[in-house]
Amino acid sequence: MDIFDKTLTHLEQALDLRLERQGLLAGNVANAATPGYVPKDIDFRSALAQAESANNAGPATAHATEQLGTAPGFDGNRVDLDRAMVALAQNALQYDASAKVVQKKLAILSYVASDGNG
Amino acid sequence: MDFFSALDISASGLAAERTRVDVATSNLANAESTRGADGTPYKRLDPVLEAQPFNAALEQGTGVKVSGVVQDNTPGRQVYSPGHPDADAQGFITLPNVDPVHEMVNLMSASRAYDANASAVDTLKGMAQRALDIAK
Repeated sequence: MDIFDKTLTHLEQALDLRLERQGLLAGNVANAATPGYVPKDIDFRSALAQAESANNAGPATAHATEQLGTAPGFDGNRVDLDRAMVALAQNALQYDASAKVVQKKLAILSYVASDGNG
Repeated sequence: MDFFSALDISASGLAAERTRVDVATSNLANAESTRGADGTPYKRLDPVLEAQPFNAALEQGTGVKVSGVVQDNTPGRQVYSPGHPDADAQGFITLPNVDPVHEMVNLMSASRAYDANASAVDTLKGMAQRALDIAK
């Protein structure tokens, strides 16, 4: 097994996509009062699978789709602020979790590199 | 999307909500102004919000901007007050078309939305900190 296996690459892609999603969700919150605005989101699971198979250099990206789930208000705005805030918090936690795993992974490598004396 | 574009999106939300608060407070302050700049009663204002997609090809976030502030031209309420300097020949004055309840609701909704944007900024700052912690 390679010491620099694919784990870090996958985690990197996950972090890229989480950040991408966070920006979209922040845009949904910013447009909570914009008439006719339809919230956007990415499907994280399929976006990550796509990024892993594409194997591109550079940050992983995903295509955002409009979320028509919530009934529009009288001005056509479909943002549900409560759901938007929950999604924002959830995505941030998942970003933190991935970042923590990267940190641990690097700590393991550093422990190995220092002959177990790290 | 990088951290700074995401912060810009939330900042655009903060700016738009602040404009909504500004407009609502100006409407409230002038709820009884029978004389505006042009001598006619004050007319209430409405901010127009517009979604603003980020132009760079890969960035899909959508900010928001205030594309204008328009005047609401519905007629104001008429009150009989013959002693008033702005009263017409029949003794009526025209009050502004401001409904304080409506403005208060706008004010509260803008203030809540401002909080939501501020909290999105906080969350994003936390994420950036976690990313920096990787290098610790």
